[in-house]
Amino acid sequence: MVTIRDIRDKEFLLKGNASCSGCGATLAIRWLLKVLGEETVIVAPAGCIGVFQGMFPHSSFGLPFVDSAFGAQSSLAAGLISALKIRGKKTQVLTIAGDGGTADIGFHAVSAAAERNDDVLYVCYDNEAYMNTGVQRSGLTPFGAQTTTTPEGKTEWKKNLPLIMAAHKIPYIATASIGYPLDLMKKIENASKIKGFRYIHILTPCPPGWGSDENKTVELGRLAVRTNIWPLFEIDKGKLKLHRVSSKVPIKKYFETQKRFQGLSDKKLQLIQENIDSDYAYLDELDKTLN
Amino acid sequence: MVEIRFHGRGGQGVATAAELFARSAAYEGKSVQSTPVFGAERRGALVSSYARVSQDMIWLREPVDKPNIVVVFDTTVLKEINVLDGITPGGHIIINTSKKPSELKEQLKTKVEVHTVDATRIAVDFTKRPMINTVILGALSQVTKLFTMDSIKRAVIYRFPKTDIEATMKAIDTSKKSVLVT
Amino acid sequence: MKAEYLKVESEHSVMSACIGASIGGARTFSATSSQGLLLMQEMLFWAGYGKLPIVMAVVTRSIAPPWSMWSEHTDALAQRDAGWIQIFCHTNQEVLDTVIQAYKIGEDKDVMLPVMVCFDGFEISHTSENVIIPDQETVDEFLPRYENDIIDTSNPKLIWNGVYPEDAFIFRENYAKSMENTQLAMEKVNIDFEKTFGRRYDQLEFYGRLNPDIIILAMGAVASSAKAAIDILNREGHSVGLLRVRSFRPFPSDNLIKAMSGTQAIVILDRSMTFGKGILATEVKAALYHSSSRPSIHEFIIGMGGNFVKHKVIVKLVKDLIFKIAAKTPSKTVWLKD
Repeated sequence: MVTIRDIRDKEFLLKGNASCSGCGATLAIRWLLKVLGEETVIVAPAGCIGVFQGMFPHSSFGLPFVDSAFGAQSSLAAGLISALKIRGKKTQVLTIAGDGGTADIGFHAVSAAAERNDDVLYVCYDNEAYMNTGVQRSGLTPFGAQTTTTPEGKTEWKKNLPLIMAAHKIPYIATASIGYPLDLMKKIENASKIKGFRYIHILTPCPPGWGSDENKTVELGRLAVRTNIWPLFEIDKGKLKLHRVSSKVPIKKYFETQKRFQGLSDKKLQLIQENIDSDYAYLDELDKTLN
Repeated sequence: MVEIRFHGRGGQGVATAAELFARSAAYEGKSVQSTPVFGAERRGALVSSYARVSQDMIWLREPVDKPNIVVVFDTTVLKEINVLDGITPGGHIIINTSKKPSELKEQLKTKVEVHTVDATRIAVDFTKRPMINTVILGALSQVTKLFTMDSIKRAVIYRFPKTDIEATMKAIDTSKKSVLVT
Repeated sequence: MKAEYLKVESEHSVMSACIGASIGGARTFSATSSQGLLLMQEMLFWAGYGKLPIVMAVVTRSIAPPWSMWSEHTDALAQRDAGWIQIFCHTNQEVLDTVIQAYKIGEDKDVMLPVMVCFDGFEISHTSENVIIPDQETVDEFLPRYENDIIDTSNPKLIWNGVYPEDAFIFRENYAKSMENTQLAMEKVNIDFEKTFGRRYDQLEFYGRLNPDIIILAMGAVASSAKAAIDILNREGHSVGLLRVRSFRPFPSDNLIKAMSGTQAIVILDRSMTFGKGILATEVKAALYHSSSRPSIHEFIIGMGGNFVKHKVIVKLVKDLIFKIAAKTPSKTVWLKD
């Protein structure tokens, strides 16, 4: 159980970085770095993180940070961890990428890294679109969401990347939300103690991209979980543990807070609600079967 | 050629202002160019844009180093950068503020013409939103005499087809009439 | 527009999809830059050697590392061997017009090659300028509907399967013929375009004083800045002209030799590099080998990392050069930081 008292004071992501006000991703990254500590090297491809890193000669990160080409991050990390190990170094490799870099252009490499069971901690910060380049849809953009390339709302469903990663039989997978920082940090801590390919997928609201209020980011992170659109679970050595919510909130309440879901028809809302319920039921079944 | 530079913060519509300025002048038959200054601009960060208006084809592909006109959307910018960098003698600066020109002329320690207009208040009064990139065109029309209200109207309708054009034009007209100069 | 918008997950996949669309008989288009262009390089060669009339906008941008959003020409020029026609534009009007022309050139039955419409990132791509937009009817007349039936179930063919060395030459020769035919096809389209729309773009465009002492060679936004510099230089009594290389592939070697005769010195302004030298410079020098006149060549690398190409810098470097030429100082490639 991680409590506030357990969190170290040292900052590895400084404030005053170039992220937007209300950015969910910087919250996630700041917290997870506090758990991981100094003996960490970050590998990250193009994306929002590349921007809040800062421009030469500044750096907002207090850790070694290797930029990679878009989609190349997992392959670079594979090489990096091999080199560190062969040299007897204890430094852990943390790959951080957005939803675009993980699910789309980088997916072949992420899949290969998982199949090889590279000893790397992979974190996907999911703001549900290519936000850095101005809100284009990705494979992880939810059904019905408006982006510049889906102006009428996305007509395809969000890929279930955590379950796809589970099919690779890696030792640890977890989903997290910036609405629950202690839970997020506990999962990072769990992951850091395991060897092999570990995958953590964090939902990180993006006010400019989602059309939400900048001061409601954390609230949104909680609402996503409480509506079951973003269930929290861990898959530890193949066993799924679902965090069950005590009070389920109707999805409409979540959509009302974001302009990207404006104008969804009742029919679509119903379809989405059904989808959420059946996906959740599937996880529920898995949990019961595996435990 | 007239060269103009706009300063403000991300999200205030600084890039659009340069575009609207150029478009209004284009409707008067001039050659124009407008460009936002690119950085990793995030909401709230300092941003600028520039535009050029000429009778002849503009071949320059560089930022405006020596503006004839500088427009400042947000007075908080004044503390962070020297907005008057390169301004030509006889140039003008237009600042969105409720303060009087003489106050700012002193603050900026400058010899150029300082104009002020409370564009934010005018915008809120007429359009209920504090977006000044259309409103400031009125003041610009008054100071530069580069385009008429008709051209401004055409530009605004093109760029913002869904806007309440009546209210916006009233705001623009008010800003034109309310520009103060030292 | 009656079109399907395909959302793909990487640039390699973009070009793969364009190839699929083109072999399926439709007109296709995409746009990319820098890293994305490099990522699709394998498929660029496929489109080029595969002789598909795909049109793609390339917004030139510096290649990483370090990450940079601003313009350089190396990304587009590094693809010069991929078999694509490459045209460099220097105004927004030219970009629009060139996209229309590109389909007509590429789809010419004696050509059948893909076309890259290249223009500088931000300085042209994100800069607003006056543009005349032609009406749809006139464009439709200029550019009639395109179709091909390579995929034909009544006449099934293997497309792009393996070939032994003795047969490979057929394909390479066929490809070489297309390239030979391209320059003529481009001129035809240029004349047609001028007749229809009233605007003309020479593959090697001249600007400035006729029969100048010094000729500047440049492409894209660099050429645009050079025009501003040349106006100043000639007003001050100097004798300077610009040869804007619009068509980089095919390279206008013959036109270049003709245009150079009589010039004492040429200044090459490169916004690219190939191991320390400018790519445009290497092409120019190769072309000029066959020229009987031997102007002195002065190479500069300018605007790297998206550093703005300031017209005053060009004015100064030409003036400095005039002095050096008089003094007969030998020159190496000069890198300009400003």
